Amino acid sequence: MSDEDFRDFVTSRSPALLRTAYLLLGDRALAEDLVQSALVKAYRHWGRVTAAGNPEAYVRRIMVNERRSWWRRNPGREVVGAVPERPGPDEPGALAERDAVWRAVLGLPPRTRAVLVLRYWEDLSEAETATVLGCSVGTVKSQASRGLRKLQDVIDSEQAAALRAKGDPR
Amino acid sequence: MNPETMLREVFADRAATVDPPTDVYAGVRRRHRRRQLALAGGAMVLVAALIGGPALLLGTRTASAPPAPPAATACPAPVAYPPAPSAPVSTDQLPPQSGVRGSLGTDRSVVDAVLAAGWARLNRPDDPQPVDPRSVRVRFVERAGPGVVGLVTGHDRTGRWQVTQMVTGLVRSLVPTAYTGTSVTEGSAQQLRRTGQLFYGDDPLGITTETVCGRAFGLVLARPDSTATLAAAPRIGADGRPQFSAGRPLPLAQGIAVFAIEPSARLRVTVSRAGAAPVQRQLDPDPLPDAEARRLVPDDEIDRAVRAGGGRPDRRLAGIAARYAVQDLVGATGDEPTGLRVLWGDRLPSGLRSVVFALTLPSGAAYLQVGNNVTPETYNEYVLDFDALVPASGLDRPVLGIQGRHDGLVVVVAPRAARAEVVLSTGTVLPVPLTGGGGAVVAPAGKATLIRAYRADGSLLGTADPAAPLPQLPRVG
Repeated sequence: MSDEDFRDFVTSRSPALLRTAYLLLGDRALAEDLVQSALVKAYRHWGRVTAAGNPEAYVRRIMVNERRSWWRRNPGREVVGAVPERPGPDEPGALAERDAVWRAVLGLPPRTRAVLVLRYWEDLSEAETATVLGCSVGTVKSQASRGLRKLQDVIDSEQAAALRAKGDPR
Repeated sequence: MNPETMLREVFADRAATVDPPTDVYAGVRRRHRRRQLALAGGAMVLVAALIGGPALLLGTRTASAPPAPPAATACPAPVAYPPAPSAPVSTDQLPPQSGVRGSLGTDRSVVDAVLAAGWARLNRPDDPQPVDPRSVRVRFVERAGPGVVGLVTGHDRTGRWQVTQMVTGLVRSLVPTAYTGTSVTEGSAQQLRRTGQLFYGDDPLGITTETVCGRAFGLVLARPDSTATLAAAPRIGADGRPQFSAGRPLPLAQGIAVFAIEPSARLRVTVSRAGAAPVQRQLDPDPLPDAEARRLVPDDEIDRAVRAGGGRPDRRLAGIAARYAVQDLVGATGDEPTGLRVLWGDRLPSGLRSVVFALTLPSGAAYLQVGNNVTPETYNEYVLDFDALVPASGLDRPVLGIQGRHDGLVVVVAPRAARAEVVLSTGTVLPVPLTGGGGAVVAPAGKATLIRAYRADGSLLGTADPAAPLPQLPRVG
């Protein structure tokens, strides 16, 4: 273990960690702060972290838990509805639908959002997600189901609005 | 499209908007150093607390103080980390300093000493993003008791990383103390300005405390056309509302004030300027040390409150939550709790534990919180789901109804009730399973409009409006 190892790890993995942090928080500046905060914690125990064999999983876990800690201590700082401007190639309707889903994701309780990010962005299994969050697989299942149900409601509502806009009476 | 597929696409879209970070390693190294310095700073505050006098406010000294040279009186050995280099630090590559604010800002020898001490800490050529020497500026130098306090700032060559370095002590033995390195974005700068922590940039606005020669000082750094007031932290009245004292003007000279305070004093500084929203910050809003939280809510008080609480309150969760609540209270007001009441606690249908409790206050009002643990069997996290101030006797209403902020949890406390229900805006009525005079049920956020509780004979015991607005802690900073 050396500073060089740590530097290599940070250089190679921080873009991915930052993307995950951004999906957890919805704010670029806060996400960068979260990544750095997690890496500082990992740096202090870098020998043990690398000895455990999967430093990225460890840092990700710190990040998720640190993020929950922020929420606990700073409930008013919850970032809701921050939608970055980035026009894509999609049809306007599809873009609106994705924006609506993203806003809905940001409006989910932080724990539910963390489950969705770990499951559907990080592609962790239910068991791995439970390990990261320090909860049971059952909790992961129920949180994921709850979050997806809310997103389905949003999708349905957006599709209904799109149909109404086209004059479809359904 | 099913929600899983849509979610994967949305995550991919959004993640793609995140540009790769600039050198995160440099930021981590800087923050690691800042934490170490903060630990050292904590030790200095402890020293100050041990030798501090009983007066809440020892006096105010501003830049208008007579310009006598700093006295070479006894100054405790500085605590500094990492150790300053033993060799003299060359400041030849730094720009000439001009326009330094503060009563000592025109004293070339003092400014040079502050610059050298600050640069000794900021000058780390091994950093991946070293501070650009051309950016280094002494922002102010002011007297603080027998010593001085000054601020040196700079940034890296990209301008992205801003660093600030406080320097305190006697002129002949200045030490760098608080170090902050931060990534600058418009959002983070606005947040720091709102909370009085923007010590860098062209328009710094900072309210903080510094320890100089073992004594605590309040420090205000604002634009020269600003005014400031200093007031005791608000107290909570019997009606549950914060009572603010008018305070008194805090003289600023060139936008700066440095004034002695008792380390545990809870004072609120307000900085105002025409055309800008006032900025408030409490001195010092750092979390209470654990030992102080334990003194304010002792173990035996928690034991007693849990035994007296309704339902099956979890002792460990109640203790953790109550001590966080004390930190919240003390960080925002001048009040200390007179006692702890656990109203109800139990395991929720989700498996999580929940506790409803209140810190009673000198006026008779109370600071009410609902907290849950994050996972059923762990205690390393505690989620504050609701908090508010309630007036005297508010805790003894026949029915208390609270809707939490995060998971739609509606908690009912009705010690004399046999049955309770939550009425939703849709007309749906959700029964609340009661254990020991309280219970909880999950309702869609914002939909619970009325809580009704009934006696054993079926008569109505009382009602509560879970959406009724209640006063909040006057948090600042």
